[in-house]
Amino acid sequence: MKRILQILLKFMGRPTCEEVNRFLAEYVEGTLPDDVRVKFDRHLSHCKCCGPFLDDYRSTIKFANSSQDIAIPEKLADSTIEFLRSHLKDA
Amino acid sequence: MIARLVNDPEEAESLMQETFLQAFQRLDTFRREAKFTTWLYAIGINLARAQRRKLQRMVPLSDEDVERLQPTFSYGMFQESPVAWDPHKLAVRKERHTLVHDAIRKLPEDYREVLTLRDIEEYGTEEVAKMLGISSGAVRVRLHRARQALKKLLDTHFV
Repeated sequence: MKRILQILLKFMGRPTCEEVNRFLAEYVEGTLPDDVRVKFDRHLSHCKCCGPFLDDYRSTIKFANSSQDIAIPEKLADSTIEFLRSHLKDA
Repeated sequence: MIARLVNDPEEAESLMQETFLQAFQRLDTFRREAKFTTWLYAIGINLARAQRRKLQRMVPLSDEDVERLQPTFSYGMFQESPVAWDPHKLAVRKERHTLVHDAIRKLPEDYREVLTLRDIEEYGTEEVAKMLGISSGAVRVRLHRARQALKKLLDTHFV
């Protein structure tokens, strides 16, 4: 069944799930050429696997981004500034 | 960035000072074709790598582990249908923060660096490529694999 679907998609010039997955980073980044992006959009809006996968892939990026919002400890900032001051003075 | 890569305030302090010191001593090697901050980051990344190799407190995943965390395909289709994350499990923000943070720490160094610089520090692909001394294509491939590995690690908590 999968083999037939693969041949059919190739015949219709449409990407498979594997092809969509391979270029998912570029798709999310918005760097795919317009004609390819349109094909990906169509695939992603219909595919029961790739659509949810993309949603969670995007969530992964969002969570990674918000997981490490650590502030530089005050002591670290102070000592670094102090270090730079003393070395610039010596130079 | 150094604080994120080494996860230890004291170590970060020492590495940050060493980074500035090395930059200052090697100022004559700085070529203006790259941004100063990119050059400074590259020095910091190299020092953090060397330090981590020395300490190796936590054994991260291997490249083979990352390979196993990638989705697999048969005839171009997903071999196993991905299961979507449960919105209720995602809603517990405090716990999620820790889970994601710990999962990122498990990634191999190469993958963690790219993910940190692109998805957390939000540097562009070209700039990350310069910082790490690899091609933009390699950054994209590594980033994609890192995200997919991270997603798979989080699947156990969020599905």
